[in-house]
Amino acid sequence: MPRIKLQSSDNEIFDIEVEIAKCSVTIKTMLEDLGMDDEEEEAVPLPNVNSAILRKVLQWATFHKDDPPPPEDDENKEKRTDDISSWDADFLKVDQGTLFELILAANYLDIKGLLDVTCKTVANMIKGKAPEEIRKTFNIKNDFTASEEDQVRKENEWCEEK
Amino acid sequence: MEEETKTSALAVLASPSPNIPLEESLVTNEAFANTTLTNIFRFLNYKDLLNCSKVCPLWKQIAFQQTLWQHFTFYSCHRHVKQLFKSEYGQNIRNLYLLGHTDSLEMENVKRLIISYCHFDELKLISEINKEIKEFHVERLYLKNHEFELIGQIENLIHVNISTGISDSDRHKIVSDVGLKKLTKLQHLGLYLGLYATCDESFWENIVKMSTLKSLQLTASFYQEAPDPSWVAPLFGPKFLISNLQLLNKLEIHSMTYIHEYDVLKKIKLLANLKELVLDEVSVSKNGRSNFGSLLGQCQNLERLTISLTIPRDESPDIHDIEEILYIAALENSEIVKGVLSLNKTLKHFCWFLEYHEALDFITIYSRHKKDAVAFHSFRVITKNQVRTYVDTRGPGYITVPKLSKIFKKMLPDTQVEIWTPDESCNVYKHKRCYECYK
Repeated sequence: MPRIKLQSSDNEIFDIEVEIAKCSVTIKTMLEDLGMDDEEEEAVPLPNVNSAILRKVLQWATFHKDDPPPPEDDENKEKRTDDISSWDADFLKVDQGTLFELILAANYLDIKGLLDVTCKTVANMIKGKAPEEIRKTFNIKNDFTASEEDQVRKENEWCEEK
Repeated sequence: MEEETKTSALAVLASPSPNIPLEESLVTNEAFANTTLTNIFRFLNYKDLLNCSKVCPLWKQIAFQQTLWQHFTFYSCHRHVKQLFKSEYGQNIRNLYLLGHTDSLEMENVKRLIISYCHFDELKLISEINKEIKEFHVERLYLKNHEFELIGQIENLIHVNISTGISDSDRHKIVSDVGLKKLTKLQHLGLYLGLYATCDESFWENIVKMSTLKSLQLTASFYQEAPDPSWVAPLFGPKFLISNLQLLNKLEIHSMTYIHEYDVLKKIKLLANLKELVLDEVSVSKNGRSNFGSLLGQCQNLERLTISLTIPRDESPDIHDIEEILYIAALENSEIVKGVLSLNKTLKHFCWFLEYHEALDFITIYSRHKKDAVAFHSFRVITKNQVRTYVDTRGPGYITVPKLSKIFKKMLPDTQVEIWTPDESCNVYKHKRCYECYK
């Protein structure tokens, strides 16, 4: 099995199978574009991902390396969020900060499966909640001014559930 | 090198500072919130998106991004649609499903309009006012027979189910010399031929020229009248090349009597892209069944197949017919079953409605056969995931639905099989509804 080295933003080196690294479309294209052959000695720098998050990402990628490629999104269908596998659900039992960093990393590394499952997890925290409950969930302060808030309410009166 | 530029740009753009907590980043760090929330919001419906827009100004800005909204379809009746457009997200509406009758309404930004039902003049008016609409979908368009020639005026018609011949004054034939030809974007055509309509040959001639069609649905109503056995036959006759419809992937035929006599399957075989075939309330005579079965087996592209066979209306239902259709006796060796089984390489979904003709006196048959009446127990069988069976009261020597399902399961291991039978608790005259009882 050919291997590759990845370097996190805090300079930790991860030595992994190329096949697992290619889960990331960003890394895959990078390897192809730069014509890196499989036995590259130099580490690929990933200045956007710290070692803690990269470790999680690689753990996910290792578990899912034999998955079939995810199906194309059907834009006309409402996307499901209740189809998270139990392994993924366990894997994503982390604090919110880590969850959002995983989203950033998956977005940057272009790993669709991981991006979808992390986003679904957060979407499930939002679904069916009123604005105040959403704020509470993420500890967000309401920084609408009184007049802005009034405006928002007015604009949406029509579809407010009675 | 390019990659490195991209990397560093991203690093500046959307990195959460390690010292700033998440809740801060989510309301103040625009790049961070944008990247994460835009991805997350893809999984929300518009009500949830609206709630998010009320969380804080930055969320509002992100939640109202055009791209998040363009895939939603909004449902509204004509009375509320104006308010809908005035709402804050009104300008984000791209797909609108208009319930009930239509209005002379301006719909800015709408690209795709779905109308539940309307008459031709209403559709024409709305298309004239709204030139921006690129796609019209009409679930039921009431068309007077003579209006067939005008339908080409709605150039952006993508999907339409036409009901015609519904009033007594519509007794002349449907001719569509210029009409259908102009619908160069049409992907789905459904035709519901009412009591008073018949088609001119030029109608079918035009249909086989509609090379953009992906789906064709042909239904006729023969309520209380003997069906015209050949109403759709010209389409499959030697004159027209239905195989021109190379994009066609779904074909539905309803109420066609003696389907085996009209080369329907021989022609269907030639449609390279046809993946789904629905034969609803069609009939095959007893003698035609073996031929029908073997032809069915030759439609080797089919992935989804739905069949409901009825007893031909003018054939007096002798007891063997009823047994074959209603009581499933001898189905194991039935030619039709063999035909289905030989599709085992491609078939992913097979649905069989074991029907009886609605004109039959259900009660009489039922009581005559009551002792053996397994067909009146409901079954729904899904291979792989679940097999649900109900009590089987038949004596030995009969093929029962569970046994039949076992055969399918063994021969079509990768196919989802559904077998539907009427339910004894349901009124026979509503038997169509009965199926919904155990959906």
